[in-house]
Amino acid sequence: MKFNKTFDRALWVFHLNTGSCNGCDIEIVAALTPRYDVERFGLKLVGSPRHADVLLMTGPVTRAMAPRVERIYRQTPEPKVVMVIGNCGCSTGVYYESYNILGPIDKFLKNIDPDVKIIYVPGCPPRPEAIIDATAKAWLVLEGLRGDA
Amino acid sequence: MAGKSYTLPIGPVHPALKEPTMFKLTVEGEIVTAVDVQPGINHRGIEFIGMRRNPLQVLHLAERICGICSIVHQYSFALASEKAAGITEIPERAQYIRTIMAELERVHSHLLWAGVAAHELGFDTLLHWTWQLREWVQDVLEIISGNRVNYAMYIQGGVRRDISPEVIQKLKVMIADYRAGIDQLCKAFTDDRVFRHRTMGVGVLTYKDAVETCAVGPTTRGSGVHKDVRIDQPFGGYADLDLDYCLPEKMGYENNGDTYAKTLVRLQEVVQSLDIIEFCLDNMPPGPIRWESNMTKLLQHMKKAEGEALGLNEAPRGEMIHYVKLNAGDENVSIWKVRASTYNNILAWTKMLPGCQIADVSIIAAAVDPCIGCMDRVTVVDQDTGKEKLFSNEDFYRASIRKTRAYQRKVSP
Amino acid sequence: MSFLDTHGAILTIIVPLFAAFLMPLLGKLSQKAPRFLAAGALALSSALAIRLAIQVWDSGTIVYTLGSATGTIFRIQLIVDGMGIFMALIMAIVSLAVAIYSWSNIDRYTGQEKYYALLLLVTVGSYGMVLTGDMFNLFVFFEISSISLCGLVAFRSQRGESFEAAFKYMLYSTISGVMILFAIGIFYGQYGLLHMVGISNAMAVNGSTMLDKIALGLLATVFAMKAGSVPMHMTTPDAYGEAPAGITALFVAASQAGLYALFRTGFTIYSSGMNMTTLGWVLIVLGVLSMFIGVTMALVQSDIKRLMAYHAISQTGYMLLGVGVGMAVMADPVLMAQYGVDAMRGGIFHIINHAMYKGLLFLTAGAIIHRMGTSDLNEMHGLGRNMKWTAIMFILGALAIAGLPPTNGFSSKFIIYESVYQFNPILAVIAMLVSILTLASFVKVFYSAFLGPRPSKPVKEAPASMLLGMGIFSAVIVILSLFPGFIIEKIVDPAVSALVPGVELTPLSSGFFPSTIITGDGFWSVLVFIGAFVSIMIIASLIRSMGNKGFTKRKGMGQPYYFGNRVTASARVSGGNVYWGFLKAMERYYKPVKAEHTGDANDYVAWLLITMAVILAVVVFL
Repeated sequence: MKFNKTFDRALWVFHLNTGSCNGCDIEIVAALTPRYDVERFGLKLVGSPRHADVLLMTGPVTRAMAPRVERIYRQTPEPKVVMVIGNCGCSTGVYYESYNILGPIDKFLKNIDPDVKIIYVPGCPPRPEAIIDATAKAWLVLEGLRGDA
Repeated sequence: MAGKSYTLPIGPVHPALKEPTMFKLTVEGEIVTAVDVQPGINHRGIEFIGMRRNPLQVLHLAERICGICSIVHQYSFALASEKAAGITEIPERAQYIRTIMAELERVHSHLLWAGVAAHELGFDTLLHWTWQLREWVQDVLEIISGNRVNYAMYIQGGVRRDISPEVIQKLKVMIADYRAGIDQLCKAFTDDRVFRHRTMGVGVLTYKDAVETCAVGPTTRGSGVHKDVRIDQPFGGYADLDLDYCLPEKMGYENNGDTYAKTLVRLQEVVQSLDIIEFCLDNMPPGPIRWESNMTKLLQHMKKAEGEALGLNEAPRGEMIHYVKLNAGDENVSIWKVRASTYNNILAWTKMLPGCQIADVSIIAAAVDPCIGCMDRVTVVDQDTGKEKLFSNEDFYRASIRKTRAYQRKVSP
Repeated sequence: MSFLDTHGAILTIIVPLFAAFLMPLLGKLSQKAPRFLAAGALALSSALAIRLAIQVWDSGTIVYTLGSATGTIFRIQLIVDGMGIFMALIMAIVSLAVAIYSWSNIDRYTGQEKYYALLLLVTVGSYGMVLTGDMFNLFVFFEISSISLCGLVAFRSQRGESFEAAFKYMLYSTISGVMILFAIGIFYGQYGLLHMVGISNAMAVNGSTMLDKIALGLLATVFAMKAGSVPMHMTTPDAYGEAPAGITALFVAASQAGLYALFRTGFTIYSSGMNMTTLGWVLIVLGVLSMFIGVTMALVQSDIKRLMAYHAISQTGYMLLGVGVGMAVMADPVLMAQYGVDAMRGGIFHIINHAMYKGLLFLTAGAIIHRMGTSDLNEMHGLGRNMKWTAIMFILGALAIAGLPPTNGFSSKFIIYESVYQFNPILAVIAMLVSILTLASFVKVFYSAFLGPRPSKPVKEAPASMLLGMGIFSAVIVILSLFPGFIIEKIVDPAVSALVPGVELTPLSSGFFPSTIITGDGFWSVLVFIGAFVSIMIIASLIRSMGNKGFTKRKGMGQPYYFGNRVTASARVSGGNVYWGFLKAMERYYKPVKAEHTGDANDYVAWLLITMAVILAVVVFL
């Protein structure tokens, strides 16, 4: 899909915890605090998926969260990108073979929307520097998708 | 006026908490009249997975029950499995290092909580400031263990890494920095008029309710209940210390159990943790750090072990219990049950939330310092056969539908 | 003159009367036949009424005598003038619409012939009240309509509340009837006459005596009670709420017959003998109280028909206010020409507007209750998807009652605001405030009933006969909205001149454009408004068409964000809680006001008697 010029400006981020241990969530919030300060790039945590450009998902998808993840994914307006933070989201991490986990996030999302754009940030939890690095790479990817530069 | 109250469901995705949990508030206008918590959304089946791993692997799994109180889960599991396996001679140096790690985590957890509480009140400056302070303890944790979260320091019979003299030096510098800055931090909370107004008298948990709901940790100490595992049942390095309960009255406030009292308890505990770390650093006994250095031998020992035991610990949120049963000849852990502290504290919500305004719900919910990741465990024991079955959310739901259908068939021929 | 020309007046009353007598016999024959007889009889009498109206407008007042042509004792006269025929027109439209509506409304009840018989009797009573020229005749028809309405209120006899409401209404009506008899006794004792014009002439000779003033006090209270004005309004919500929906619409028209009687008493009988300023002020005070208390009590109701009943009380206040202002300045020709006439025009135009849109709203409420099974606003949701026509007609009625342009409600309220403002600005401000609160409560009703997720068991559109009944009202509302100037000129002005004879009526509309109203100070043109509205919509759609065409709506995008959960019916704010903040702020006002509405019949009668005493004191001594 082609993105329009809104991605020139700062990205707004909605954080969705699909059942994680909170380690990655704490690192995401730590990335916003003055030591790592990702807000200087204009990234901002918003309270509603309607305002979001990027969905920041952590955690393996538990069975109870699965319909909610789907709903929130659909309710986020286009164009959007999903950033999967942490091992649990990329693969299921240590929760492999649990009865209540429906698989890593990309497997789950690709069933809903086959051409979803996902950026993976592995780590348990990934350091805030890794999250910032991933955001920078995401921008490059999005610029590339936009068809110029 | 219709007089009908309205049910406001909050969750599972909401900006108040970082984790998914669902609570249904019955409100009349702006006042909450009842609260119904529906946990189980964060249930990952960790105990089920644990039964397919050996005790050394479960240590790493236990850490990832929760990202904030990760070390205490490891600590409790280590204590429980050591007792179950009959490992009793844990070197003193290891015990002191264990205590130091647990207290470092308490510092980082309480500073995290302080920032989150400020954020819930809209005081984002304080959020950024406390989390900036928190980075110092994160640096130290990284120097000791190599990671900011999920340190993997513990093992049955001791700790895996030692604290070298350079690290001790850095720890001492950190403590000195904190001591210099802690007064200012406390003042930022206690002297701020808006913070006081928003937290004093809000979310009161009386002594009686705290005892009746079996609340633990700062939630209950804020109401004046003398409950602390480190003091009641000392273990590890705590046995050599002479600790006192952290109560709000020590900071000049009464033990009335409101959010302000809980804040004071947590701030006190930060200072107490700094004292404990300093004591442990000064009196660190020399010696080995593990009962058995060879991993394979340790694993063999655990395989032959037979027994069951409880491991109690004081997490930043309160008392935490792990129950472990090991069977001889079986490499995997037979039974593993976690009762996290938030499990008790959640009930306190049903006592604290009614009567408050909707705007206060997030600060009251945060006052209990909920860690839903710790909490969502479900096990059902079949009384007749004594067999355990692990149920998931889906199973409950399907069972409930089955029961309804059966009843319907019975009622309408 | 043809047969109909001569006897048209009495036939209008007799046709439904005979049909009512035939009804029980027909009921023995078949279940379905009564409805057709009722509809037919009422269609016939409506046609006769319209014919009578045209006759009156062309040739002036018609006097029809029953009994001896001369002498004053053994005869009854029907005097049909502009005001009387105005009210008869309202009855014509309302009764026909209600009869058709009732085909489906009471379809599942037995005893339908009794219902239709009583319905016809109410029509007879109302026609009689507005067409007669004799006081005792007025009383007789008043009693006929009251007793029939009592029976109809209790029609849904499976509910205990219906009987209670009917009992309370009967209590009020009986006391009122006794008071009217007392007043009639006073008239007869003094003047030996029962004829309205005769009494008026007799009073003009000597001025009105103390006894006359007592009679005025009694009559004013009783007729204001029938119209449903505060503080004697207590039975109105009960009775309106419990009657079947069609009957409530008829109730509105019958109450306005009471209002007619009040105006008749004030203007025709008494104005010759005494200064009407006091009574005018009494009407103004009653009007303001009704408006305000009516609408504030309506905001807290959770039953849809009771809410609308309180609005009926509130709208009656507008009529009392308008005509009261006219009455108060009646003696002064300068003020009268400046705003008094316009105030009366507004008040009287409001009568027909109110009967139409209130009738429509009650019929839609009945359709909602018919389909949903409950009348509690907190239990309804999501009817708008399937009951589209009902929703559209409800919107029309709600816009009209709130006084939003371009509806007829706006036209009459506009005239009332303008004229009353010149009399006393505060009254006009109160009137506007009440309009806003009216809009608020109807937004609440619309939100509760029509918006939201679908109901759990599917509902269908209202039955065809209900839609037809509502359609009749809607059509009349549209006509009244589009041509206010014309309507005022042709229909309202004769009524005004009947009440205040000899007054000069400057035309309100420029004859070329029948949709415009030009008062001395203001200008309102329906066509200009509609034209502006349509052109703005065209500009808006042009702007919209220049937007992004590449947007495709994907599945699930449009759902509301509800913390990730599916939106269920329990997620809605229920109707009663919509205005929580406002009601909480007004708690100090509501506590005593709500406490007064006890539901106890003794308290109701106490209010009636206290008000009667106060009005008597005011009228006699001031």
